[in-house]
Amino acid sequence: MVVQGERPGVGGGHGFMGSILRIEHISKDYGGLRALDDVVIEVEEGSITGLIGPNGSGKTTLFDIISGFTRPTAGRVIFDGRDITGQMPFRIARAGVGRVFQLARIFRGMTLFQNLIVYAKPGGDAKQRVWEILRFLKLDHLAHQSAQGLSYGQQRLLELGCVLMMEPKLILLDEPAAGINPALLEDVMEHIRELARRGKTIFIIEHNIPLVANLCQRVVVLDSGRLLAEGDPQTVLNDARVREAYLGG
Amino acid sequence: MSATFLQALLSGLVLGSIYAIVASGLSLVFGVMKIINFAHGQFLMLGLYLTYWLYRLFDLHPYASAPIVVGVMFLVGFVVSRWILEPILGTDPLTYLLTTFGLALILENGALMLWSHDYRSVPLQFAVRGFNVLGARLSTPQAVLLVGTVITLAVLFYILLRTRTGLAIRAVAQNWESAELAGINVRRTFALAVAIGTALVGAAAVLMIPIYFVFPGVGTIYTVMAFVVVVLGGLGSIAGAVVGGLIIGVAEILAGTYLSVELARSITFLIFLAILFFRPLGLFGQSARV
Amino acid sequence: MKNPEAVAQAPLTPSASRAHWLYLAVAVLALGLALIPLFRVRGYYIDVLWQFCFFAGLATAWIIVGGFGGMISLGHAAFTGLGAYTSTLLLLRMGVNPWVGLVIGALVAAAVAGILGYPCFRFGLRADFFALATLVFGIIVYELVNGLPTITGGPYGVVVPFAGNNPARFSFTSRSNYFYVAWVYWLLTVAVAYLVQHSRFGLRLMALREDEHAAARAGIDVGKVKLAALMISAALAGLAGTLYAQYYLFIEPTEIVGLGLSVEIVVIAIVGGISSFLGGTLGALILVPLTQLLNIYLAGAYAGSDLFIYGLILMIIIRRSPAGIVGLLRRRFPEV
Repeated sequence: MVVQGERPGVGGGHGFMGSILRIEHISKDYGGLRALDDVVIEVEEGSITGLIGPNGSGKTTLFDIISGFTRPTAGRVIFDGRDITGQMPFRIARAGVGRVFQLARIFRGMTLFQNLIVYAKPGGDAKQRVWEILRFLKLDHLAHQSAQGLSYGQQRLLELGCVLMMEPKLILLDEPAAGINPALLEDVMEHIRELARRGKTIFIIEHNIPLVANLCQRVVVLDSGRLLAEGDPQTVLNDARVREAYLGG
Repeated sequence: MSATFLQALLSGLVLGSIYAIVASGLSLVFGVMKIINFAHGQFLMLGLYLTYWLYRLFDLHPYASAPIVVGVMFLVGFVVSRWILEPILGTDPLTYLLTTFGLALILENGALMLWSHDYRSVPLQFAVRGFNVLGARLSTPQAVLLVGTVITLAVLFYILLRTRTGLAIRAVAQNWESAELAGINVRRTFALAVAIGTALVGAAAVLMIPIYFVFPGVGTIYTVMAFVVVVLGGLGSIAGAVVGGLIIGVAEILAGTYLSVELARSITFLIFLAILFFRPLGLFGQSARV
Repeated sequence: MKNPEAVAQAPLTPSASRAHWLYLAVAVLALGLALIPLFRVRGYYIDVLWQFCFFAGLATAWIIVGGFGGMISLGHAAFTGLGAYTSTLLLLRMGVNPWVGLVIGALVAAAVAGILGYPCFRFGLRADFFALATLVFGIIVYELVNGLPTITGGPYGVVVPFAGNNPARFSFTSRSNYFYVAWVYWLLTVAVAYLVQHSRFGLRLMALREDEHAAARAGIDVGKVKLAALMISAALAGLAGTLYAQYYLFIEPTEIVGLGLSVEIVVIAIVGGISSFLGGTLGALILVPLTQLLNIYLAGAYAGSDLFIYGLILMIIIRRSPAGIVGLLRRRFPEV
């Protein structure tokens, strides 16, 4: 399996230069349950990083904490040099962290155009950007239709478009391949690669291992709230502990 | 302890007992169906009028009419649940709100149209008799109310904790989908929960009628107070509703005694708003926040 | 999956310019109403026209927060009452010109709305609990007005001094002139609601109405937007209060601060359709004449019959056509 472009400095190192997101000793307790336990992760700017692990390992909780929908019990989240721990989600969104939910949270009561405008930053060229993104997603012919009638795949595209409107530096993608027709997976991966080429950092939660291996330069593995392994996909996926976490227990 | 304080405390417990029963009913309905029933107080009003008319037309002593009133209210709850609440289940909180609010309007103004503004009461001979409790006075109806409340709540807790129905109710309140999968008839459980909640209100009506006036507007007041109690005690928590009810009852009477009668209620409401904002979990419950 | 015909939906206008016929219809209606007084009709009918403008304006103001924002307010009469009492008491105690009092009343209403709204929205209170909070708030204001007679005249109300025919002091001998002021008020609220609906601000409101978390992700400061909507709505409602005071020359708690008024506003808005700037107008168009007819035929023989009917209408509308008249219109004309 071919590993996508290796980048220097990525893969195991904890270099402080070039990391746009730092998860510093994040822990999260829900009553008696420890969802996350002293997690330390660094995501390098411009990279495509994968976050994998069995169900219930805390991946979505971590995303919730990064995007501000939950507060951690301990630890800090440093984004682009700033401490964003526990800030209101809308501030974090404005700061450049975009989040694409697995179940597209688009506004079904509005048209596609309206959906995108809502995400636009104040300023004159919002309409132009909306059309750009609609064209990028190949949804421009549906611009003035209600978002109610979109197919699942189209909804997820719109979802992505909305997040892109905010011109995020970091995009948290929650299972982009879930429910997608396998024939279209290559398209999805190409969209993601294109975003990385444009300088965005992508942090992906995924269960589709081949996709992760193909797409990500670096992979982080969580198991029961703890960091199990990290590194380039080949190494990580061949790691015995990782195999055991997924298959054993 | 001063006699005034003790008197206020006793009166507060009496009022609080009514609040406890009424709020328990509301909490039960909310806990199970997640619907805020804005018409809950109006059911109390219905119970009161029913008891009143049984007394006026058939000379039936309120306490004796308890089985009838509680039974009728149980049926009313069942019907309302099936015909009005179930059809709107699964829509959104706004729809529940507006529907039950509409129902409240219909009930209250229907009563107004039928029976006018007039304050009615059931004057009973034994109402003037009472006990002396450590220097404070407790009238017989008040004492009966206190005892009746304990009995009613005991029955309620028995049903909830020791019967199959109660178990079903608690299961559905936790997670109705899982309950469905476990073979519980969720639809019927909803209806039973509402029916019990309304029957409770019927019991409260019977107990309180020798002491309090009956008029159409009594509903709104008790709806609001029931909510105040439920928010204080925690949404969906019956124990919280009971404790909260007593606390609010005592607080209201104390505020009226020591501060101002006119503003006693406003003060209670302000406390309510404060709780809603700052501690929406109340004492034991689920959140009122998004 | 939410009911697609739900109570609140955003209109599908991509931009403002496609619904010319809408403006025409509204303009015709407005002009038509304005011309009626010229035909020497009985004072009673002018009064009905005044009531239409009053309720249409109030319901439209309500829709800004209750419809667009999805935050149902069951205590909006409190804002109207605040406006009425502010301007009247300022007039009585300090001789303040009612026109000035009009503005101050609106500002007071907005300020109080801010005090109420800030904790509600800062802590992300759910919509139904917000409704409960407004209900309680409305009762508190009513009880305060009722219970402090030295300041507000209490349950006996306050008589508003009449200044003869003095337009500069908001006082007319001709009923029609009061109507024209109300007419302007009505169109003002419709204009504001229209602007909100077609602005980015309005879009953000509707977004957070549908999904607050998604709105937060879009960088929308949900609390701030809701608060702004509430305050604008309250200010407009406050204006109506002064209009009422100057027209009827007498205000008392049950009429101008009571639950009855709050309920009427909500029902009118719902019947009209709460997701459109036209909702208040359409609702009042139906319900104001209806209420008048009810009053004539049931002539006070049955107190509470009007609210009874309102309750019935509310329940029926929510079941059959939750989006109100606007919902029905939208099946043919999506741009409303």
